[in-house]
Amino acid sequence: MNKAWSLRTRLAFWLIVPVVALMTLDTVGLYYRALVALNSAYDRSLLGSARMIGDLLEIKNNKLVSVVPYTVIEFYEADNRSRLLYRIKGFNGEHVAGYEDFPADPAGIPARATHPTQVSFFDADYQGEPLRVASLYQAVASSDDRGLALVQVAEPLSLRQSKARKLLAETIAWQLVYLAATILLTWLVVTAFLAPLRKLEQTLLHRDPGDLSPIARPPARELVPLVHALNEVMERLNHLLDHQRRFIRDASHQLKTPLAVMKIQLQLAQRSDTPEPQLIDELAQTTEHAINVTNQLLALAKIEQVRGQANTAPVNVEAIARQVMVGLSPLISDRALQVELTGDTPIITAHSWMVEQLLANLLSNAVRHTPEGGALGIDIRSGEEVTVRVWNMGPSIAPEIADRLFEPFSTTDSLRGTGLGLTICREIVRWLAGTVELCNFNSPQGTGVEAVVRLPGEISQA
Amino acid sequence: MKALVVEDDAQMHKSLCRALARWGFATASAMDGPEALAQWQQLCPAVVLLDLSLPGMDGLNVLQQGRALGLTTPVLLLTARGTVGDRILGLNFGADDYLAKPFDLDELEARLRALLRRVQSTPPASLDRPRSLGSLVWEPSGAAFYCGEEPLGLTPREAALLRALVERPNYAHTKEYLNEVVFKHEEVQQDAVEVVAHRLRKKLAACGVTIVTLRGIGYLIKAAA
Repeated sequence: MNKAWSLRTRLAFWLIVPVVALMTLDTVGLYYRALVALNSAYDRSLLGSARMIGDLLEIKNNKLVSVVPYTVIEFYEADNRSRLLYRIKGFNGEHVAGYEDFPADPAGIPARATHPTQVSFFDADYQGEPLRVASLYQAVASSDDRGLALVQVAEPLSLRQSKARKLLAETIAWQLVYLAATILLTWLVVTAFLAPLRKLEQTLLHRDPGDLSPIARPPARELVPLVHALNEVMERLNHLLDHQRRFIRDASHQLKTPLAVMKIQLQLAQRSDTPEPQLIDELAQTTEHAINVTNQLLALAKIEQVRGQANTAPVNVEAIARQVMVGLSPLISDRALQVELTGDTPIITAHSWMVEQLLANLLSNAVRHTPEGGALGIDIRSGEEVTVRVWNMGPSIAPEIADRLFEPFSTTDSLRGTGLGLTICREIVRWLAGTVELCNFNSPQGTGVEAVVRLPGEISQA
Repeated sequence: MKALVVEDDAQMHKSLCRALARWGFATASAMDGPEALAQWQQLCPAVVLLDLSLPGMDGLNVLQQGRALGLTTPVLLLTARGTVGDRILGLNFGADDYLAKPFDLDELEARLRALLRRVQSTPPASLDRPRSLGSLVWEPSGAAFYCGEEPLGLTPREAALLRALVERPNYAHTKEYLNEVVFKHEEVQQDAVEVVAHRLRKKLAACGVTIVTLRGIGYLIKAAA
């Protein structure tokens, strides 16, 4: 079985994991939007510088002359990582001013444009350093000449990259703070949420071990069905415990009685001057009774024990019936009873021990309740279900007590019976998924009592 | 002839020793597993009566270790557990027979006798004394039957049937079993044993015993009422 997840873990997992995923997505989005804004701001200022330089272009003596004001350059040198590179080309692409080794234009920048101030930006590489370049065609005119000069200004990308990294770090830091707050909040909410369950747990834990009274008030409306179920289980347990307590009380009574009788019989024997064979016989009978009670109690306990085991096997019901008759043959011959074994020989799946106990108890009841010289027998029929009738000619049973006889320690013969035989039978039959009942019958030969056992169908005809 | 009794319950122990002494055994006793093993090795008893539940070391362990030491003494297991599982386990571990508590002394006597016969040692005289039912008397070996003092003239088949019946007086023996015992592997009719039983019944008429037919089950022998 998998280890059960706590509700807290479950709630925390399903709240925190999606929140983390959403925040990651949000961080990525935020960063990219900020990057776009950052780039466009830098580009704009770069373009501003290009414009400023372009505005100051003049034609003197038929020559294009540029004056780059220091303020433009100085602005970029404020930061020690930054500097401004520039180049100006004349109307025919000739070099006018600036860095001669300025990176070449990439393909696609129109040398001539219809618009007087055509602007474009591109990234380039200058002596191993990435640059951002702004190109601007500036219209220059004088009385002598007019044309488009190309003004190009560049700054290293490293500055804006470091700014972007800083931005990213700040964004992540803030998101982590939000995440921590979310986790804390989730924890608090979950704790508050689980409080009613915890209360129920404490109520149950602090009960007395024997307290099976129902729980009065569920701590939350959603817990009402659970509390109802718990109360029902406890009621059932209470019944079971009651039943067992009664059984133990009765069982100890049944065990003690023959021991008490034995003690008295022994003391009587010890105190009499002449040996009394009759006392010894009675003592033997009492001992036999104590053994019977013990065996029956153990059998009842063993049914519980065997119930948990699955080692069933094909069992020949007729063979076991025969074996049981052999076991009881001394009693049968003592009372000169006419015994019969009739019917089919079905095979069922069961524990042979259980079938033996079942038939032995029913037959021993039949033997005890048959008058001297009377008839009894076992009749086995197989069909849809296997029916075993253990019958005897003898006094009938009042229908109102027939069912009660299956209860522990109820017997019509307290001298010889233990009151457990039919209880054992009922438990075994229940385990074999069958039924057992006691009824009276009339036949041409006379009236009698039969115990009818019905068991689920046989597996094959032997 | 020595018998080793390994039993931790003092009362049970005392009673067993008394019974064994009555049958002519000299008894040695052990109350727990290690003591039992030591005695078993030292005394070389003719038979060991071994209780399964012992303090310290389980009876099955004692049995297993004894067999591992090469001790071949016949072992009769005694137990209050008495479940089929225990029985099979005990026999697998090298026990020779098995008796569930509470048992009849007669049953114990019969098992001991059978056990000693199986290893071809002669049981003590009193254990091997003639048995009787009514005025029917027979040797435990089943060699001869007497009606009082008079030897009974029985055919081999009648003797085989009677031997089988007196193995366990008062208890029924199934017809199938008796057929097998009386006719061995001969192919005979199902009711052939009835003919033998009928003749045997006549010969036993004066011996104070009756052979009872339980219809559908088989036959049993008991003292006549």
